[in-house]
Parts: sequence; structure tokens; C-alpha cells
Amino acid sequence: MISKQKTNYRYRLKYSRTGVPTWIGHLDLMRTFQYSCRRANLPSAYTEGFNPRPIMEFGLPVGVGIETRADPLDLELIEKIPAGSIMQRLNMKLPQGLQIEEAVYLEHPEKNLMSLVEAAAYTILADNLGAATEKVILSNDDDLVVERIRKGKKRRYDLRELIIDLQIVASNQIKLLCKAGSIANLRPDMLLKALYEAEEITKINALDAIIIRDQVFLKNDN
Amino acid sequence: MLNKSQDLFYPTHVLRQVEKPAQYLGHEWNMIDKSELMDHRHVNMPVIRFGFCFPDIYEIGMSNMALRIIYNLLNSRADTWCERIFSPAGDMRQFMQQLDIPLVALESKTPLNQFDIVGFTLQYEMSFPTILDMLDLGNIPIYNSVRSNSDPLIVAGGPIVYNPEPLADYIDLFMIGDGEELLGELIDLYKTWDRKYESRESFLLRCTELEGIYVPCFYEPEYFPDGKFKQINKLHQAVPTIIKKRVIKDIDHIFFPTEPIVPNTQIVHDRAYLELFRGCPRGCRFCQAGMVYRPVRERTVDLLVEQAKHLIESTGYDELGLLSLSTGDYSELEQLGNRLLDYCAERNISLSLPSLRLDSFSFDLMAKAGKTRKSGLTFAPEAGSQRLRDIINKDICESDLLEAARIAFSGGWNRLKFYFMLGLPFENADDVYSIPELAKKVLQVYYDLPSEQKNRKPQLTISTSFFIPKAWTPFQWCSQIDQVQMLEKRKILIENLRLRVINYQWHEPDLSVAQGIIARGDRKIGKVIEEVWRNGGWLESWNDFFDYERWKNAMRKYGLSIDFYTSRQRSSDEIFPWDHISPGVSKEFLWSEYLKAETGELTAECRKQCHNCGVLQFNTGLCVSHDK
Repeated sequence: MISKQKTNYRYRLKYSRTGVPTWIGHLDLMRTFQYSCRRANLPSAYTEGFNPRPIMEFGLPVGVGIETRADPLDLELIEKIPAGSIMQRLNMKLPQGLQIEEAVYLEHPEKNLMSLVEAAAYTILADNLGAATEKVILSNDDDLVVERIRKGKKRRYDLRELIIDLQIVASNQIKLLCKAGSIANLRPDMLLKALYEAEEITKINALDAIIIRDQVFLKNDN
Repeated sequence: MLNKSQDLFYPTHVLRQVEKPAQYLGHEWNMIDKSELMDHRHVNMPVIRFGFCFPDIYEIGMSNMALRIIYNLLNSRADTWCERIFSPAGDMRQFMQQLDIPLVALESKTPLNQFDIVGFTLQYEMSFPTILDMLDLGNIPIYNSVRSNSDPLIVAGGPIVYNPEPLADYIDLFMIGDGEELLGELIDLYKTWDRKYESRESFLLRCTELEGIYVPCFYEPEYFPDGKFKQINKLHQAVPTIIKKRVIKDIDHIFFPTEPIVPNTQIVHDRAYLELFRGCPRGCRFCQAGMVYRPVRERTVDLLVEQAKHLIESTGYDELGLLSLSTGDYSELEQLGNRLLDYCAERNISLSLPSLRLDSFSFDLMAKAGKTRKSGLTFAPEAGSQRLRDIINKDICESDLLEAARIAFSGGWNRLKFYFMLGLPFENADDVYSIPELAKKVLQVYYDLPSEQKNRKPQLTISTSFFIPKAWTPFQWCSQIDQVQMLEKRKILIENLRLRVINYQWHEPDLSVAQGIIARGDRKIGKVIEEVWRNGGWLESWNDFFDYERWKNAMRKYGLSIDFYTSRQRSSDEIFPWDHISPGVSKEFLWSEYLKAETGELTAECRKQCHNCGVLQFNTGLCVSHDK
């Protein structure tokens, strides 16, 4: 339920998360941002209903254990204040590991940030990742299908359809550009799963991987 | 850009495989990090490392008020760094054992055995096996008798410290009563302990000079041949015969945490809390907290409003809770309520009010507080019949209760929850049947409302726990019912509460018996707790982990009878294992209350009349204002 009585001012923020907040789920992340906005005393617009909460929209949920560098997050305020000041005030009140990297005022606000998301770029680090990627993904055209159980249903994902670009940066590091958003979305852990199912990296190496979402691309971005 | 960021201590693959990994990582908002002090640690300015242990998992422990108070209180001292340690959940515990990872504090990831002082809070009996587990996971010997000068000092305190005997072999010293002043005195004394030159025993002996400190190794229990407690013998002349609890006299000037930690993950009680007062004027005869926290000491409205503002600003919480044993008894509740509501309304903060008085004023307040949220209301009549409520001195009458239900239903609260106890002393079959009868009367109140006042369909939750006699209450002499009786009583309720609009919840009989063993246990029960733990019982407060077989087997192993500790009625002259730990109320007062219970005679609350319970000796709070 989003208030439509007053004109709200919408801002697009980009946040990074490293360290401890990397290990919280999406709902807890939202909760943490809400409390932080309150601490920062931002003139937030509130949702209506039983539990009014600051209006806040995340572009793309981020899984537990994935760092971000510039994930989009929209805020609505009831007062127009400089975007830089929002960033500054929030950064003073965010827990260690969360930071606003960028904030802009949206002249032509579009609701539903989530529907704008099209792709995401990741950096993944794990032992032997380069060679395994080369062998399993880049140097052949075999089907690359991973099964995942979601809401009790088994679903199959054809990774090749979801990967836009894949580059080996170092023996233990790859860069992945893939489809993201509500229609088609590649979770980087599915890619790691494909690699350890092919027995090219160990399960422990896959679980030990550092996964960083460098960027989330929106429609109209290039 | 590829910084590995902060050292998270645990391997990444472990964090990827456990539930809620953030609970092990700390670094929440308002966490206190004094690691810089550690870098400059030198002889002239020692920093005392205090490990505050909550013997349960993070989401439970972080909700606890004692933790919030002590954490910030100790950290307000420049010479002390207090850090938090919780029990791991099952998945993480397994990894810790497999990979040889010790139990560490959230703040600095320092292993438990490297702290100066390790303090456990005693909140409920079933957490005692968890205490042993945490010591063991932290590589600290569980027995106080074998610890050396290089091991931390192990201390414990909290609401159920008034029978410390079951933990006497494991804890070095117990702190009886309010901890705010005593903890500081203990740390000051600790700083005079030169571990190179003074033995642990000698230091512990010096600790007994502080009022409120009980060092169990200087006392030895003696039993009669039939197993009953005979007396406690002092092993050292200098130690006190009776350990009297500590009482904070000026509650307005004692530390209260207005900048508590805000977890990154949701916890059980995820809100800011104000403590309106300590103690309770009511004197319900089953209630240990009501006896041991006497006398009532209230904070002033001005201070509470200031604290509320500070709390909300520093945490960003959108919910404020009022905490006390009986919040509705706060003498300036109307003024406080109105001022808090004004503050909260502007900021989209909801005020949550736990079990209030059953009068119209409380409902006005609730109506304002819950403008938007009318989820549920909780009442605790504790017993179904007036007769039994008189016996336990619960001063609520049925007409008040039904009137409260009427106001609630017509005001739009459709979900009401009622707490009862089964197995109270002198309970008969009629008393048990009166619980479903009362529930039906409450429903009838709804059906009798004029249709324009009927809101959503009513939803009643009836919750019963089994009465467990507690030390230092008027019912400490009483028999606890056994599982057969528990199941019979529960069956009556199940059969009589089969209505779609009633949801019946109960406590587990076996768990209540195990809890009863510890609650009035002596030093021999310590071995039982250890045996339960050695057989895999490390989180026995959780239904999912609790296993009664372990308790039965442990009792059998040590030749102890469960009935002796639980269902045995004690005689008036029985010496209790906890008689030397004094909360201020006298045994004579408790016995007189027991006799009054027998005849169903009420004892008026403290504000109306003084009953000479014994806490006047502390010369503070309600006792003093009453005198004037």
C-alpha cells in the first residue's frame, strides 16, 4: 500500500554491502535499512496500513552470502532534500558493512524498480574457478542445466540461456554478466553448482567462493 | 574492489551452510568495539575483559533486558570491555566441533577462555545444561574445583539465582540481587587480583566480603539420611552465614541502556524497551519474581519519557515496549501513557502494552496506542475459578475479566489470549473445569454484543502451563503434580475447548517435571544436570531438543528420586537448600502466606497495606513511601 495523497520525492540510491551484512537475508536487509532511515531522521514517506513503514524499494533481492557494490534502492521522501545529504545522513547511521555509494533525485520517478532490472554483473572468486569455467562452460556447447528446488517444486535452469557474458580474469576469478530480474534470473550459486556437479571444483571450494554483485543493470542503462 | 573486508572468523563455507549466519558475526548497530584499547593494553591500564554469556541462542538472548542493561553498563566503564557470547544453534555447534572452532565472543571473536570474567545470566532453569555446554565449547573446565589461575572467573546472577545450589559445583561465585552496583564492585576488586601471586581461593575469599556474593566452594551441604537437606556448613569462618541480596535504592540514578544494540536480523522481542519499575506490589503466591524483586521502585515519568526519546533516536526502532512485572500498576501510568503516545504518534511508532490492569482507563490507553494495530490482547487470570484465584492471591474477579473482554471485543480486538496454570496447590477438578467454562463465558460476551459492536469473529487462545513450585515463594513447600495428573488435567481442557474459535496451547509435562527438579534442587542435582549434558542435552529449554529419558536416566544413575524433588509436600520445618540465600522476604512471611492460601485469604497489595514481608530492611521504594 503506497500513499498517493501527497507528492512524494523519489530518490535512487546505490548501496554496497560487505562484511557482516553480507550474511543477512533480504527481509532482514530491508528491516535494517528501515531502522537506519529512522535513525537518520529522513523525512520518509510511510506506507499506510497496520504497520506503517518507510517506503523503500529494492531493485533485486540479494541472496545470503553475496556482497554488493552498487545495488539500486529507491526511497520516497515527503520533503525534497539534496540527494547528497541523504547519502551522508544514511551513511552515518548504517551498520558497519552497509554503505550508500551514490544517490540521485529522480526527476521522472517510475514506480516498480524491480520490473526495470534486466541484468547483473558478478565477480566470483574460488580456487580453480578459471580452469573449471573454461572446461565446463566456455570450451564446449554441452547443455548446462541445473536443477533447483524452489517452493517444493523442482525447477530446471538452462544456464546458457541466462549467461550474457563470461570472462576468466585470473585462475581463481571470473566475471559474469547474466540476466537478472523477475522474468529471468541467474543466481551465481547455480553456476557454481554446475561446476562442482561436473567435478571440476570441490563442493567446499564452491561454498567458500566469494561472490560480489558489481552492478545491477536497469532498462535504459547501457 | 576485491577486499576480503572484515575478518568474519568463521570459514565462508560454514557461514553458507548454517541458518541465520549473521547471528554469529556481531557488528550490529550500537555494538561496542573497544579493540583499539586492546592494542594499547599495558600494565598501567589493564582493561578487564568481561564475557557476558546468555545460555541460549542469539535471537532469544538479544531480546533479554538483563543483557541490554549489563552490556551497556559495563561498557560505560573505561576500564572494561563487555562482549556477548551466545550458545550456537545445532548446525553451527556441529561445525564448531568438527572443525575445532572454540566458542567466541561476537565482538572480538576472542575465545571464552581468554576472558578475565565470564558471567552467565540465569533466566530459566532449563538453560543450566547449556551453561556447561558453553563452558566446554569455550575450553573452560566445567568444575570450579579444577580451574586454575589461568582460567577466567566464572560468575552468575539473575532472577533465578535465589536457588543457586544446582550450579554450585560449576560457578565460582554467584551475585545475588540487582547487579548494577555489585558488578562494578566486583570488577574493582578483580583489578586487585594479581594472578601471579594470589591464589584463586584467596581471591574468592576476598570476594565474599562484598555483600551479595555467594562463593559456593566455601560452603558444604549436609543431608539427613533420608536425603533431606540438613544444613549448610561454612568451610571458612570469614564467609557470611546468610547471603543477602543487593538492592538498587535510587532507581532513577542507576544506569539504564538507551543505546541498545540493534541486531541485523530479527529477534524474538524486536523493539526498544523501557523499564518502568522494578519489583511488583501484587504478591501472587506462585510468583518467584514477585517475591525476590521486592520492593517496588519506580522510575519517574520525566526520566522515562527522556529515556524513550533517546532509545528511539539511537535505535530507529518503530516499536516501544513497557517492561515491568505488572506494568498496569505503575502509579503514573496515565500521564506516562499519554506523553509517550504523543511522542510515538508523530513518528509512526507503536507502543506495545503488556498485560494491563483490567479497567477502562487501560483500554482508553490501548485504544490510543493501537490505533492501527489491534492484533491481540493478553490476560493472565492464572486460575479459572475465583476460589483458586483467591488461593494464589491473584486479585482479579470474573466480572472484571468479562467486562474487559466486552470492552476489548467492542473496541475491535478480536484476538484475546488467556494464561492459566494447571496443578496449582489446592486445585480440585472443579477448578480445572472452570477454565473452559470461563473461556465460554468470554465468548458469550461477544455473542451478546449488539450487532453493530461485533467486529471480526473472536479468536481465543487459552494457554496453560503446569505450575512449578519455586524457591522463595509461599508455595515452596508444595507438591508439584506428576505427569499422570498433568495429562489428566490437560485432557479435560482439550475435550472441553474443542471449538473452532478457541486455540488451546499447553506446555510439555515432561519438561515441567525436569524444570521442577532443578527449581527446588540441591547440590546433588548438579551432577544430574551434568549427566544430562554429557548425554547430549545441551539445549534442553527447547522442546525440539529436550529429552526426558536423559533426565530420568541421570536421576536413576545418582540414585535420586524425581518425586522427592517435585511431588513431595515439604513440612513446615523443612530446611531448604536455598535458605542461606536471602532475597529479603522472610521464610516466616512466606509460611504465613502459605497458610492464608490454604484458607483462600487474600493479602492486599503493598500499596494498600504493609504485611511485614521483610524487605523493609532495604529501606527504599514503596516500603519507605508507604511508611510516610
